[in-house]
Amino acid sequence: MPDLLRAEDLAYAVAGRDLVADIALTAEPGRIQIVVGPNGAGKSTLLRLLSGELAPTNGRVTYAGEPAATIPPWRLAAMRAVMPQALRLAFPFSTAEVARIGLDGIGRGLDRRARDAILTEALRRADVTHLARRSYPTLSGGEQARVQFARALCQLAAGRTLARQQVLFLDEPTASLDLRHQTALLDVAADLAGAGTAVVAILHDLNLAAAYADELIAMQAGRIVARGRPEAVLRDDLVARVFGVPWRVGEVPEAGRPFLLPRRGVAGRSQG
Amino acid sequence: MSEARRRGVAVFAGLALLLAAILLLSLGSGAVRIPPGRVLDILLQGGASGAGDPTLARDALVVLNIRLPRTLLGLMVGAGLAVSGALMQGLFRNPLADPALVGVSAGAGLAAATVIVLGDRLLAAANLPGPLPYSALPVAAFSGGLATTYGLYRVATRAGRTSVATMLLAGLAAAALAGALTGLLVYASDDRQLRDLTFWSLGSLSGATWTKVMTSAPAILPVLVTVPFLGRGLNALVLGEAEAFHLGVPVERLKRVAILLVAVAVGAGVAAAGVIGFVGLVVPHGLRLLIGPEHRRLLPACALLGGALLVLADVVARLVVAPAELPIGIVTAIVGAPVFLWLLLGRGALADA
Repeated sequence: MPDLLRAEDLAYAVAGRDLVADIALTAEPGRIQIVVGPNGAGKSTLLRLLSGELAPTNGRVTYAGEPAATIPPWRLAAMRAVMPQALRLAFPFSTAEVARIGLDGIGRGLDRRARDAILTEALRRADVTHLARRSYPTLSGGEQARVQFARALCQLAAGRTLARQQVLFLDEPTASLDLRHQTALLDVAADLAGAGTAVVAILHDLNLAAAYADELIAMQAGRIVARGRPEAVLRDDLVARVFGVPWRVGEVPEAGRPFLLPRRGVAGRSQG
Repeated sequence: MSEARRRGVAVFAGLALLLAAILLLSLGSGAVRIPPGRVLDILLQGGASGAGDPTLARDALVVLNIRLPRTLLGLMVGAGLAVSGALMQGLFRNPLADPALVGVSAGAGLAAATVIVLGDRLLAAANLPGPLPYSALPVAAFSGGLATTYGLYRVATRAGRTSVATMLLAGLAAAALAGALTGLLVYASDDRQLRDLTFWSLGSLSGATWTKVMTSAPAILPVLVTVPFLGRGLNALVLGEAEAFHLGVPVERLKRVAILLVAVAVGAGVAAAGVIGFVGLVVPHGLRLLIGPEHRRLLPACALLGGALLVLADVVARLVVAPAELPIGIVTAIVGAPVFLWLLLGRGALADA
């Protein structure tokens, strides 16, 4: 059976300059892949290529063996959902309306009651139920991010009526979230992975990445420079080389200086 | 959500009632006042009720041959303008986009002015018999609007992708250029042409005939019928083009269709009634406050309210300086501009959130 999502020899160049190159990647059901790397490493470009939004200048992206470029948008929308970075809206849609945009026209055979149920569940899992009637533009950045997560959850749930296996792309989903919602969101992503979704996320927080990744993918200058289990990738020399900081993995600060590390599955009331 | 739906139903019922009331008012107002009951009688029985009552026959003639085509034309033009405004605002993700702003109306107006001022001279230069038929004017306006939109679309499209930001800015330039060229034509025109130009550039429904209704309907009605089907795509487009694509919307096709619909509706509107501003701006803006920005509700509501308001503006234009008439564009601007400012002030920060 062909892979759920497969990228071969992927490259994207603008004006002769490679933004990403030599990318080979396979997304598998149930696996969380987290892309890390410094600014400008090509992480977001890679995500846009994988989601089918950008057409690669070399190589190709296939979903279940089919080239993404030849899959019509409505069918692709059932196979993968994307949670973008911060999104502002020019019109005063309510929170529930924004999340519902992820449902409209996606999937097949869902009556109004089924769609309402999906929406309610997505709002709950993204912990935005209490904001459902608020106007989206008046929400804080973190709240807006959670609404976009709810929208992606809606799309996946509705798309499941057409596609058995799906990919969830998250572009810096935790960037503006408080600690509790950072872990809550990634816990939901982990639950989805547990239920068979492939998750591909970009994260800047290496501690969060290490806590949730099945595979950690480190990018630098448009290329993948290391990949594998977090403990295999996150090593002193890689951190120094890729991120340019002489920090040591697992080193405890001098005595008495506090530090906090994220833990999985303890997010409290927003846990699904 | 269900509350919003209930509210939507209530607003639609209200708009339908408002529209019906304004239609009756429009059919009854003018040099001959006809009470609403009698207007209804005439409409229901067609023209066949005049037997034995000469005033009824006269009223039927006035309603059916003069006021009905005028009212229907106003209804279509207003609905087309308001829907075009909402479409452009959704397309440009900017609540201030308006057919007048991006040069569609100006292009149509310039083409019309060219025909008014230079038409006869061009005919003479080409050794064709004059004078130019009056129908050349609407045809020119329609072509001008379409050509401007197409030109803007081409300017803003690179490698198959249309940049709405470029199109908006190019539209501002096109509007300024068309305005300047129209000004040049005004400068070169004689007194009679100047009167025609003024009427055209300020808009009027006074030339409404059944022929105009019948030539406008095939352009505007299909737009009104098609537009609700773009609602889902426009909702997604509000999130951004990439996001709309992620949600399964064929973005480039949506943009092409929306631009074409706007060009057709505005071109036909300008052709029939001249340049009428603020309907495309105020109607969608006000309705968003009432029923929210969801396009599948917003677009049909815009058609109802836009039609109703333009017919009402026409009634005002007919009555305030009777027996003369005010250009309708003056009425819509005098009422529309302050209302728009008031809407902006009332909403404060949300406009650019």
